[in-house]
Amino acid sequence: MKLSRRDFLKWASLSGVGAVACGIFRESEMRIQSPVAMPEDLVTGQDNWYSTLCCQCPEREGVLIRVIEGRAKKVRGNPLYPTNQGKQSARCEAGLQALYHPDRLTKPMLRREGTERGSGHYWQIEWDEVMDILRDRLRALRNNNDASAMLMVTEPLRGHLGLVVSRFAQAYGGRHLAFEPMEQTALRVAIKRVFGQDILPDFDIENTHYLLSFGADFLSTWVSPVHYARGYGQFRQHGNGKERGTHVHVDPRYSMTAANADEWIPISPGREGILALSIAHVMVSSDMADPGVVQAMSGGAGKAALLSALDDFKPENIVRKDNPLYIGIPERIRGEDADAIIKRIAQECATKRPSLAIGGGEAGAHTNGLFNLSAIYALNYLVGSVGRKPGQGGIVFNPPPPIEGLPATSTAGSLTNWIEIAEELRAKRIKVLMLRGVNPVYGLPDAVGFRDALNAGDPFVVSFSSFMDDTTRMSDLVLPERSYLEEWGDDVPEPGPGYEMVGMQQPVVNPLPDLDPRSYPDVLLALSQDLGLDDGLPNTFRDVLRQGAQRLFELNRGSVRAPTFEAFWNRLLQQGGWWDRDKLSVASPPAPPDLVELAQRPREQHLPSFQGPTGEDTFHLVPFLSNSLLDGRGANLPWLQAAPDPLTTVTWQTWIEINPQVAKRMGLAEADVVKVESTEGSIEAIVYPHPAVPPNVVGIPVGQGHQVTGIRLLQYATKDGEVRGSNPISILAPQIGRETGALAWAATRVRVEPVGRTVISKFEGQVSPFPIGTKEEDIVQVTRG
Amino acid sequence: MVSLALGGLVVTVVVVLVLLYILRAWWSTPLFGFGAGGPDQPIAFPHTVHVNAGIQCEFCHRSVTKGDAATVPAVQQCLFCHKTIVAEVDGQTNPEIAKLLAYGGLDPMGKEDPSTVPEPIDWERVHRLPDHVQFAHEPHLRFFTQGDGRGQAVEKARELGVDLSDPPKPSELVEATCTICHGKVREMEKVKQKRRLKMGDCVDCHRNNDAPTDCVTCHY
Repeated sequence: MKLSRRDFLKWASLSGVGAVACGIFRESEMRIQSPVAMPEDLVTGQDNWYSTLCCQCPEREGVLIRVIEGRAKKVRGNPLYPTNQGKQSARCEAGLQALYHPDRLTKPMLRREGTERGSGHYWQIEWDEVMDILRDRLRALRNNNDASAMLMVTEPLRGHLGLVVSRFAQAYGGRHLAFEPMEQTALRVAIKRVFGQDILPDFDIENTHYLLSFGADFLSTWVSPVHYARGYGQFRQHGNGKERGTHVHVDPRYSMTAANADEWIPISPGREGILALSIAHVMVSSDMADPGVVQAMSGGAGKAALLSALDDFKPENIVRKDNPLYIGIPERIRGEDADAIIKRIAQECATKRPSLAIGGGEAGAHTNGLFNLSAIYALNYLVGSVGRKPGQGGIVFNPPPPIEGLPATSTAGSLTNWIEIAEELRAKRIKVLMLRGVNPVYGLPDAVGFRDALNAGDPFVVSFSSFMDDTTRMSDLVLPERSYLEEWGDDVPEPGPGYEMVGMQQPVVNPLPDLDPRSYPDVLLALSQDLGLDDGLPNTFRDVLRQGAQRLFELNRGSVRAPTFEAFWNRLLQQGGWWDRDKLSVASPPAPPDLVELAQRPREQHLPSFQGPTGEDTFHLVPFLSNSLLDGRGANLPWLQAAPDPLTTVTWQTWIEINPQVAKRMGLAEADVVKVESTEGSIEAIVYPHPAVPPNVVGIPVGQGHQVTGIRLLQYATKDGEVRGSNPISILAPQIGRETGALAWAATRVRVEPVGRTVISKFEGQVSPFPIGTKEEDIVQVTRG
Repeated sequence: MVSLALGGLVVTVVVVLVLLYILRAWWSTPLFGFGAGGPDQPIAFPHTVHVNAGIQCEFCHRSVTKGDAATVPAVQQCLFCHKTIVAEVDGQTNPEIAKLLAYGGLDPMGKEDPSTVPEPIDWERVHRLPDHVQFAHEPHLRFFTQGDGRGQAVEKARELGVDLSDPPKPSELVEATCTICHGKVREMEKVKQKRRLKMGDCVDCHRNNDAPTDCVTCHY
C-alpha cells in the first residue's frame, strides 16, 4: 500500500487524538489501591544515607546513618572509611538509642541556691542566662589574675574540637586536661620510648603472618577494636597463596581475644615483660634475629653480652617456681613442657614473618607496666617488623596530620595528674571546673577522693553532657549538649591507617523539638568572643572545620579533589573524610632499644608489686572493659545492657570470673553473690565459675555500678534508687606505674567472701537440656515430641 | 475545498483536545467543574459515618504521622470492624458493606465465602500531585501538631467549624492539621478536593511559616 504524505499526517493526527482522548478518560495513575492484607508496619518514605563519625567510643569509626523523614534509623560502617572499612560494632549501632533516649537533658539547669551539691535540685534556665553566668564567672576570675584556676576536663580530643578546646584554654590562661578511665598512658610512653613515635603506629594485623599479643583485648575493646577486628578477619583467611595467620595470646584472663587465638598462655599478672625477654633470648641464641639488630640491641657489646644479660630470662629459668622471675604458667600445657612452648613460640615468631608483637591492656596496667610493654614492643625489632609500609604487615608508623597543628593524639592525664587535681580542688586552687563528656567521679578510684574534693573545694562546676551521671550531678551548671549525630566535627584517627587521613562528622538530624541542646565548641567560641579572647578561630565550629577543609582543598591531592571549594566540601562530607594513600610516614625506625640495659635493671623493676590482702581466698583482681558498656559510657543504653558478654553471656549485671575448682573449694556456685574486698573498699558481684580462669586470678567487668544515671529507660529493670551492678574501679588501690605515673589498674589484690544471696545473672544453661539417651526409643521419643 | 475543511477540522479537534488535556492536567481538579462533587468510588465510603463513630484520621491513614504517604487502609483493616458490623442485619442489606465484605472474600453475613477471592480495592484518587513534586505528610503533621504551627492548626480548624477540646487532644490536632489542606472531610459523604494544591499554594504556606522555599525542598 502506498502511503501519501497527506494520509500519513491524517493517520498520525487521528492516533494522536485517540491517545490523548484515552489519556483523559482513563488514567490509572488516578487510582489508589487498598491492598487485601495489611502490610506489617509498612512505612512509606525515602531514605537518605549520610556519612559521619561514630563517637560512641574513642575509636571514632566512619559510619553511614540511614535517615528517613528527618529521623535517624540505622547505623552501619562506612565502606570507604580507611580504618573500619564498612565494619561497625554494637556500640556504634546503639548510638541511635543515645540520640532518642528519653533521659536526654532538655534544658540548661542551674543548681538551686542553698541546696547541697549532688542533691539534684536544679532550676531550668535559658541559654542567654547560661552565657551571662559563664561570661561573668570567667571574667571575674580573669580580672583577679586567677585565670589558671580554670580547668577544662574533656575526654581525649583529636581534630578541630581538640584545637578549639586547647586554644580556648590557652587564650583564657586556664588549663585543659583529658580524662580517660582505665588509662593507656603506659602504652603511649612505651611507644614513644621504643619507636620514637608520638602518634600510635598502625598494627597491620591484616598482612601479618604471626601475631603475638600480650594482655591487649584488641578484638573487643583495646584502642581501635573495629579496625583490628576487621584486619584480624583477613589475617585468619587463607587461599590464593595466602597462609592463615597464627595468633598466640598471653593474658592472665581468658578474654575474647584469648578465645580467638590459636594458643592462649595464662601468665601470672604483670609478668609479660619477663616472658617477652625470654622470647628475645631464644631468638638471639638460636640466631634467628638479624645480626645487625642484635648488635644494636646489645648496646654495641655484641651477641654474647646480650645473651649473658638475658641469662636469667632463659625459658628454663622463668618456668621454675623457685625463681623470682617465675611467670606462673602451668608446668605442662597439653603435654608440652612450658619451656618448650616458649622456645617454640619464639622460633615460630621469628620464622613466620612478617610477625608482630603487641601489648597493652592488663600488661601495661601494672607498676612495671612500662617495662612489660617496652620488652614486648622491642621484640618487633628482632623480627624486622618496625617501620614497614602499609600492606606489608608489622608496625606501620603514622604520618602527622595533613593540617598543621591539628591535634592527632588522644593523650590523657595520668593518675598522678588526677591526684594533684584532687589536691588542688581541696586547697581551693581550682575555682571553675568545666567538664565535657567525662565522668571522673565514676572513673577514678575512690582512693583519689574526687567526689570529696569537689565537696571540699566547692568550685563552680560546669558540665556539658547529654545525660545526668555521677559527675554531672555534682555540677552547678548542667548544659545539655548536642548528640554527635546532631553535631559537626572531624577526626584524625589514632591509630590511623598508616597514611594521612581526616574523617568528617556532620549533623545528620536535628534535635527533637522538646530538646534545647547546644554545640559544645559553639558555646566555647561564643564565650571566647564575649570575653574578647584572641583564639584566632572563626565564630562557629562549622566555620572552623571549613577553614581546615580549605587547607585540605589547597593540597589538591588525595581521595577528594574538586575544582571549587564548595564542590570539595560537599564531596568531603559525602565520602566521610579525606585520605591520601600515597602520603606515608617519612619517619625511619629509630635505633632499637638497649635490651642489655633493660635486662640489667634492678630486679624489682622487672616485677610487679601489688596492694591488697594475701593468703587464703585472695586473688589478683583483673578488671576489664565490658565489650558493650566499655568504661561505663554505654550503661544507660538498654541495647548495650542487653547485649550478652561474648564469653559468659551475662547481661545487665556485674559478674566475677573465678576458677571453678577454687569456687568449689570456697563453696561457691554460679549465681552466688560475693563480696570483693580490697584495701580501698568492697563491691558485690555474681559468681561465674569460668573454666579458663587461673586459680590465683578473678576478673570483673567495668561499666556498671553508676550511682546516678538517667534511669527512665532502665526503670523496668531496676528498683527505685537501686544501683545496677558494681564498679570495680572504685575499689582499685592507687598503685602508680613506675616512670609513667599511670594508674596500675591491674595491681590490686582482693579477698572474696560469700554474702549468702543468689542472683541469676544469665539464663543460658539454667535449664538442663532434654536428656537424650543412646537408645533408639529415646531418639524416637524426642523426634516425636 | 472539502478536503481542506476536513483537514482544518481535524487540526482544530486535535488542538482543542490537547489544550483540554493540558488544562485538565494544569488544574488537576475535575474538568470545568465536571464531576466537582468528587469521583464516584467503587464503594460509596462515607467519611461522615466513620468520623462520627469516633475514628481518628490516623487510625485508618496509618502512615500519615510516620511516612511520606498517608496511605489508604488495607481491606484487612476495614474488616477489623466490619467482620462484626456486617451487611445483613435483620434481613436488610447494606449494599456498600456487602461490597466491602466481598472484597475481603466474605459473604454479606461476614462468613467465609468460598466462591469469592479476596481482592484489592481500586479507589479513585482524589488528590494527586505531579511526579516532579515530592510531598511528605509526616513533617507537615509534626510542624502543625508539635512544632510552631500548632496554634495555626487550631485556629484554622476553628475557622472551619471543627469542634476542638481546650486544650486540644493530640488526635484532634491531627484532624485540625488534615483540615488545612483537605477541608472538613468529617462532613463529606463523598471526598472531594477542596484546595487547589498548586505550587503557589505550597509556596505561600511555606513563606507564611518560615519553611524553606528552596527548589530542592519539594523537587528532588
